[in-house]
Amino acid sequence: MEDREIIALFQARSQEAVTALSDKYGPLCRRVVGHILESREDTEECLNDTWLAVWNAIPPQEPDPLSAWVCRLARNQALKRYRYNIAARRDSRGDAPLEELEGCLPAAGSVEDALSGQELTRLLDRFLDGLSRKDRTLFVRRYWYADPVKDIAGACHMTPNHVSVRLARLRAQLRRELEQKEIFP
Amino acid sequence: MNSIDLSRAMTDIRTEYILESADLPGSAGTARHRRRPRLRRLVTVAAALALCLTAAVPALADHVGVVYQAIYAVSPALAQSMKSVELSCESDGIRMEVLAADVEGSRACVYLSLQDLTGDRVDGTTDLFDSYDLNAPYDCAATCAQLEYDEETGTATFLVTIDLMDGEAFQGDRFTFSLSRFLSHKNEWEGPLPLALSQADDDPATQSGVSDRGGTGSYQTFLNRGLILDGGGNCLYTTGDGAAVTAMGYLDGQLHVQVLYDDILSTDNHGDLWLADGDGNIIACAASFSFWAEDGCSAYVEYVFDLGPEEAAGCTLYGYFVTGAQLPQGNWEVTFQL
Repeated sequence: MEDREIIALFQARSQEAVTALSDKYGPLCRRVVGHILESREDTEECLNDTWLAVWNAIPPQEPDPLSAWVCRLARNQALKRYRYNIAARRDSRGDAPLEELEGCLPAAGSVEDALSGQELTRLLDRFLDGLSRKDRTLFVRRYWYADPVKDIAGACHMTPNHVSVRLARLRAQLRRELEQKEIFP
Repeated sequence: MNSIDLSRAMTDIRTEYILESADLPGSAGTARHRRRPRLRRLVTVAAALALCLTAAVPALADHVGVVYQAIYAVSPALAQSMKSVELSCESDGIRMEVLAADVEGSRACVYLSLQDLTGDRVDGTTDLFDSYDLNAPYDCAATCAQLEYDEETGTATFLVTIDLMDGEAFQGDRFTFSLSRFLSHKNEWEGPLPLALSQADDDPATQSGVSDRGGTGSYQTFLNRGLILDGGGNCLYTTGDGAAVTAMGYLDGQLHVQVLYDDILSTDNHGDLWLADGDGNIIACAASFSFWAEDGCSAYVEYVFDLGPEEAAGCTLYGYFVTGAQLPQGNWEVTFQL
């Protein structure tokens, strides 16, 4: 089903809307959410929350492209749950891409005052803009989609070790840019 | 700020980056580079014929890397169309040359050679590592592997395989293959290690909170429970050129052996460990995991064998290590037409 048809179903408040959305983008959202959260139950709850959020948002919104928009909603729901789980020590995975990102952060507290969330997003956009297509794909697949390294390696025709090493270089590069931002706010 | 804040900020990055990374519907990147369909064709030609030498007038972007990269970021097709065909280049006495190309449908096999004109920096172990890039006018995936090494001429030949993502055929567009460094003179070693498993500590020091690099098996359990050896800077055995066994011990009834691979960001130091019992049967590790060393460029790998002290007593520890590579650097770039 085309995206505009799915959106039309939501606008018509049709019960089939969620089914159609779930059929088309459920696997993609499950992949993103499932890679962030450890528990299958959490993942399913998160997806249900995502469908509800879509239901509440359309109308009035008419997202285009729908794929990235719904994926963003799912990712936000997953991060919210992840933060809750970490706070309550319900999830202590050591392999999460989110924890790899810790290495990008300069000394604790040094950047948070200087950068709002939006500014940080703009900085990330600039950082991604400066990367080659290949490096950007590696970074986004790991830290946006939270894909496992071996999946990225398979998709990008690289060895897992090369993916891991390249991601480490990219994290170091991002860290340098964040530190530069700290020096020149 | 913590990693979740950073990840939240990641959520709102430009939509095009999200789409292009997963080839999602509506991907602007994919649509921008999609070409008109043409009949598929089979072309196998020698390089001199396959790769067009009658290039367009050299454009400003050609030899001005910054300008070229800027144009490439906006329009890969335009940037590549401005590139002139150059089938060979030389940097620091090392020559790279396009030998031939074989195009079949949406797959192209390009044969490249690398020859050291002044020394022996290119050898049979030459590995382009991950330091090569392919700039293409549209979406494609590329891999590169060494095919052969000619000792007489000191020439290594590589096969670059390029697959177009949309499955259509090549249409005479230009591709640029560049290389900034490569590995060579790697030492490969395999055999029993001069370490008795009786040396393994029954109550070893442990650590937690390491910077995870991934692993195999149910390795997360070890990280979550802090079942990670802390060698404290010790060295039980070293290859002398990039790999060292730093700790052995039993944790929760399992044998852990930890290896430190030096500077993996600039080398390809890697390896594997296994056991052989008294009958010569191979016992592979049940899990392994890797984490960064404090210097941020070396990495530990810890191998976990599902054996207690009594079972391990009759076993021998074997290792396979690839270490000690040289890392010649330069600026090699060839542009060819497919």
